[in-house]
Amino acid sequence: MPTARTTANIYTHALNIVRGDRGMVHNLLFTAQKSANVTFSLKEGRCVHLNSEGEFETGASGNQMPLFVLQTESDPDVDQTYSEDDYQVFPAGAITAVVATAGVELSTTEYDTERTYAPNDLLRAPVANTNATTGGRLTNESVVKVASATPASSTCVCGVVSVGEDDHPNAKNEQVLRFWPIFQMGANGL
Amino acid sequence: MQTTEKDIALYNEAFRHAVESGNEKQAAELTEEYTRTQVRESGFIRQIVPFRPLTDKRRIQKSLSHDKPYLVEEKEPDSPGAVTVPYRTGPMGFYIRGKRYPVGFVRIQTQMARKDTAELWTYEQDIRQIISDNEVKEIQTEEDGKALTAMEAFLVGPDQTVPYSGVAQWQTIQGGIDRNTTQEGLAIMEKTPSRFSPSTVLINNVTMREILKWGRDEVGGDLSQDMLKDGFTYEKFMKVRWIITIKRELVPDMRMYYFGPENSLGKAYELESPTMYIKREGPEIAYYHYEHVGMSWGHSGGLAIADFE
Repeated sequence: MPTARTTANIYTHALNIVRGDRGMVHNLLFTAQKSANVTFSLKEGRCVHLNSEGEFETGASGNQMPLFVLQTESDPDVDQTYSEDDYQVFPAGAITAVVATAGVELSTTEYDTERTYAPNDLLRAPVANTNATTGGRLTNESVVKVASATPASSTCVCGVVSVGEDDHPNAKNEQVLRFWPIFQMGANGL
Repeated sequence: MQTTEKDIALYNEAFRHAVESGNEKQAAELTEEYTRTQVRESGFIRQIVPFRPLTDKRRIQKSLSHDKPYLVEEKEPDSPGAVTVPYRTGPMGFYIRGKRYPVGFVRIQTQMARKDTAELWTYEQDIRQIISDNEVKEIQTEEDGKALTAMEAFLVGPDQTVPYSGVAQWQTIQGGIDRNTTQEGLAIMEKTPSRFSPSTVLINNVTMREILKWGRDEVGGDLSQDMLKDGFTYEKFMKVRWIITIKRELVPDMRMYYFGPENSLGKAYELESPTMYIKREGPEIAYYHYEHVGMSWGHSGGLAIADFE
């Protein structure tokens, strides 16, 4: 009996540099290992920040600079696998991410698809290292900007919606969210 | 071939001319030729596991969930052995299966170096040395370091049992480095079910001095005198090849890494050999080196480590 495939296809988790891509040699990128505090496999397009050990954890809060991941952790250029009787030398687990202050427009599959997005909506990415659904996933829910009535409750803002939801450029049945990455600090832990 | 000062000056002039005339490809070729020579001579892991160019790209595996290149390699399957049986007894059966393991690929690259071309005129020293040696050596060091890090993780840890063999293949040996303890180290690999003997030993130059200290009664005969006079010059010693490295940051003092026959270790490939990217924008040149390689340890039986205390 035929069964539906549950493994992701190439388009399921994707980050695209829509505008401002100056090539991998010149883009503002950062490479680091994933922290062991993140208990799920990191997907391309998720938002991360650097922890005090210089490793990536999910989302961004407070004064954590947001970055957007360019690889899926399980892909063979990142995932260093081993068995009882073999061990990969390369790769070595390094992940590269686009820094939020890069002058680019991005599109990502990693956003809360239950919500609607309008141009200029502010985006945040929850820090949730043990939640594979929400950890580092963009949303416009509960974003509190600094210039609000409650600045003490301001959340770290990591993006501004440009177009909103759009078709993936070469997979029309996949939806992406187009946005400009920015960095606006939030209150501690928010 | 010995490189003379005249060669250096001619090379530098040719390089400056190539860059100033906008011929980036020629400039890259001038350096690329020397780059490959340095790669062959530097680094130790390539002397142990040769990095073979992957010429048949059809071997690259495809996946539904990603488009990153990787290979699948095969290794010798186990066999169930033979038994003694009485009459009227037929054989048991098994379905043939072969073991496989993946080889993933990555780029190893240096940082981008930049220079105003006018400032190149002020150098008399060998620019080839600046461009090629240091950057390519960094690539080699990265290969060496990652290979040893993976090997150490594969062997679990000092005096820890490797699950596949049931033997501790990374051992701490007391008594310094003498004739007896050196043989104990060489025997680690032979105690595994794979029964390989070491073909290569990797140590650093400081550790090698412990062997050069061996007196006549330790070594046996005039070899002690020869080592004192000439240092360690032997292609093989104790029936193994010794690779002596100055990279003490990778190979610690008083540690020996043992490697079995080449076909017992694993696989290493080059998708792109070390290449120089060079670009000129106005008066500025920029360049970096990169390569595209993959490597896996395919079997723990051909690996062992000894720390001597």
